[in-house]
Amino acid sequence: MNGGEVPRVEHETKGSTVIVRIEGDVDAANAAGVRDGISRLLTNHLMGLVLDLSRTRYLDSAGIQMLLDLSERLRSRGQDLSLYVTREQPLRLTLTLFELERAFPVADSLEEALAKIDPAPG
Amino acid sequence: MPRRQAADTATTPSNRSGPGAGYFEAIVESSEDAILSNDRNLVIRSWNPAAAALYGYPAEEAIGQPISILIPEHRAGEERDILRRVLDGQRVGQYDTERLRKDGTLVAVSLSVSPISEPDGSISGASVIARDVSGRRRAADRAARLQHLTTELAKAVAPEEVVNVALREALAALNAHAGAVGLLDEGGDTIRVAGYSGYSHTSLASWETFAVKAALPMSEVVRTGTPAWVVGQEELVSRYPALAGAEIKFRSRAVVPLRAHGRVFGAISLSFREARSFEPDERAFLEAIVQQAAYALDRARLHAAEQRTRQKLDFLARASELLAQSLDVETTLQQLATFAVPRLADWCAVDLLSDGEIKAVAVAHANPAKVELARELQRRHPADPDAPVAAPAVIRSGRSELHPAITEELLAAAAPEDEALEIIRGLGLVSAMVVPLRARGRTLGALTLVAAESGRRFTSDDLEVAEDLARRAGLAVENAMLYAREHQAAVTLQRSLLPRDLPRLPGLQLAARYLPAGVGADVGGDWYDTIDLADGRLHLVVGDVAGRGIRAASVMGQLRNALRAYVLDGCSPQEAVGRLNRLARTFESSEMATLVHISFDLRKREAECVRAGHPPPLIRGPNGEVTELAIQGSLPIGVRQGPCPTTTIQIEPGSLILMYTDGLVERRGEGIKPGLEKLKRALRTAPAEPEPCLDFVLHALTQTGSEDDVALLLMRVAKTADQPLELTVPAEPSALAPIRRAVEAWLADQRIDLRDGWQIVAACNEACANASEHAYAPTQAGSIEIEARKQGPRIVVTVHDHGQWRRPRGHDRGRGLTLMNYFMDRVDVERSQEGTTIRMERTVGRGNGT
Repeated sequence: MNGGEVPRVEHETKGSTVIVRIEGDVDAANAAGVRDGISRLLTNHLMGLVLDLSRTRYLDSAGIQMLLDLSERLRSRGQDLSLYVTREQPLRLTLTLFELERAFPVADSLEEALAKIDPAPG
Repeated sequence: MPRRQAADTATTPSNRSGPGAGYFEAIVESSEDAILSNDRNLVIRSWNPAAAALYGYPAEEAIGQPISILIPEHRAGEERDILRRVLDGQRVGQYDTERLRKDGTLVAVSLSVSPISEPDGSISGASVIARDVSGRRRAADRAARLQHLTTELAKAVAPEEVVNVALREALAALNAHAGAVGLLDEGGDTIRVAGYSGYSHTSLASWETFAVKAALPMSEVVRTGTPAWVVGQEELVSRYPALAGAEIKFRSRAVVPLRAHGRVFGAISLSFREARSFEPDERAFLEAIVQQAAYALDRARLHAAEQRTRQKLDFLARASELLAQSLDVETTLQQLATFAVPRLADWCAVDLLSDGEIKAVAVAHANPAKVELARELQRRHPADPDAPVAAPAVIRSGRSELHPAITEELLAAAAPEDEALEIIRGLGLVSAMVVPLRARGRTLGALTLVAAESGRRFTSDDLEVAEDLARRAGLAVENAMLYAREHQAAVTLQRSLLPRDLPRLPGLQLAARYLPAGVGADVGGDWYDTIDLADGRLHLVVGDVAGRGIRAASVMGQLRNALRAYVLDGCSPQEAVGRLNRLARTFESSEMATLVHISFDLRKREAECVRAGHPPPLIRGPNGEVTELAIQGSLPIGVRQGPCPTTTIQIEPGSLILMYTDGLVERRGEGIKPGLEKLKRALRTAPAEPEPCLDFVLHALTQTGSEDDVALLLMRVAKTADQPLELTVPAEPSALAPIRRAVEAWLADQRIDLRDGWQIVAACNEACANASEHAYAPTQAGSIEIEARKQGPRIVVTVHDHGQWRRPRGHDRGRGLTLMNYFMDRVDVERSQEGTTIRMERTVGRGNGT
């Protein structure tokens, strides 16, 4: 059956942090696949993961579950997770609704999100 | 004492009736075979002079001694066995064994042992005839050695293996202490040591190669073709003064030429610590071994050369295959470079001449990091077109360069900039070849092959392979360039003939695409067109001219323009297509084309359609069902026929009409049916907005790459403001995206801003996700019905499935329901025998974000 669209997932490594950018829609059709794809990028020597959701058009409840799964996985390995979401994005409301800001930092800019992982000295 | 007498003279039973005892005694005394006898107590009783000579005991010492003095310890058991048989009256003949001499050495003998019978039939002892067979034994030994050598040589395939076997066997044959195999170089002036044993590395270091004309044993033997046998130190130094001092350890020397098919190509040399002479049989034996080795070595070298040739041809054949795979220049050359590494070199780079500039188009190395470094280098330090060496020089001159060793001067000439030079030095380049890429007498670029880590040094043989490779690559590049030029021209022509902008009309949305066929195929004559007469009618055309290339594209242009003219002239589709048909038949070469022409009345939403040999458009109704638009067909354009039939169809608001050419659905070997079914399925779940809808359909249909070009035209007839959304989709997560798109499009039709409406989309998504996750067993293919209505300021959405509602327990752990409740003013879940209905409503236009 055709139909499910796969969001574009790109990653880059900055120092000991991996930045993953998700473009498009994350929903029940692809959330598990996206989660597994990101998990494969998580090596032991990483400090943490920054999820750049600034170009994520839509994130449904399965996407919320994906974020929680990743957060748990990282925490169990002593690694950090932070999110980059702009203030204008509707999905920010979804994050707030489930109080995800209490589980991991949600930043307004990529720099800020990176700083949450690897705090600059001083 | 007659009995004793009989035993002492070794009389045999068969001879007893013959001539007198003195006669036999004389025979025994003069026999060259040792003849002796022993009694039942194994005491020696007779002993002829030959026995004395063989065993070293004179008769008076031997007689009276036990026979065991002659028997080595390891043969004791065997003697008892022989004796038991003889005392039983049997004769044991030709028994090969060993005996002990007085001096303690062993001697190989062949024995015949016979019982000595008394007249009463009793057996009093045994007579023994012994023959010295040491010589025979040695010969047998050597035959076995030669046999063994033959077997070993047959197992050795590579020349190096043959050298090792030959050396080992020659050393063992004469118990030599050291040995070497020297082979004549290709030029015939020097001898190179191909293998050695027993010499220290340091003592041999200065003898790795030496001149054929040198006054050395091996040189002399190779020159004369005759073996040299040097018996002692003095002779060695007097014959070869160069060896004085160097050869203290070894006193004697045997050197035998390696010869095959009448040609001497090397020698095997053996060294001995002791001064020794070489007996004729030893000389013959060594020569036989070396001869065997020579034939084997010759064969192995021939085989190795053949294999190299075969590998070379194989390499070139595979390269040709690779070059034929793609018509894209850069892809082709990158594949070629990757293929050449590491088979031919550690690095491979290709530069092309493009508008007078040298452009690096491909580079390959086994290590991707190094490739990146090289690319960076090329970016920062582009090749100097006037450089005196390497690719620029080869491109200018059209002549190859072979650098067996890369020198500092060469690097400096190739890279005048310090930074680049530093990086290149760090690469540890050893040897290089640069060959021109040529086609039809023109130099297109250069192929650079460099050895680094492998330490390989390129030879004229390698250059030949590289040149052959470059010749093939040059032709492939030329073909690809020609193709690219023609393809580009045709694509440009085609694009220039297609409309740039689509009309914007109220209540109607349009989207169109033209996709040229994939690389390797020609452009075709597919087209689409829209003509807005500004009288409330919009004409839509999709057509396909038979054939390929620039000609098909230009015929397409003529047909398209003619059809436009007829329509602007006020023709109906039927009249326009009729005229087009007459026009096409006046063309010089008879051209065929197929098309669908629809004239759509925006006010009445009525479509007047003609279909000439073309696949029928698809329509997706407001209920989501996809069917073929039932237009009566006629023959293609260019075929003599009467007027084309017209079909008029009422189009419902919210419908999508998709017109396409067969390139979208036709696959070689499959026909049109499977593709058409796939297209229908894709359109069923595609988003409602025309642009995303076309993206979706193309993504679903052209994943395997289209062999033909494709033209698509999509029209969406907007819903009227009060019209509800009615959607039926399969209950699976993959339907969620299309559902969201459909709800978004419907909200847009209702003039509801998405900033206000996105929560409705999200709530609807969660309701459908719930239905697809909970409503049906995994094996059950169910469907979900979605309905959305606008009732004043309220939006009411119902999502209905036919399965049994189950308590939310999937991955979202009830978050979906939370979201629905949060995003909508009201959510009701109603379960019944027929399934589950979720009814949600939200008042819009309140101006707040939530």
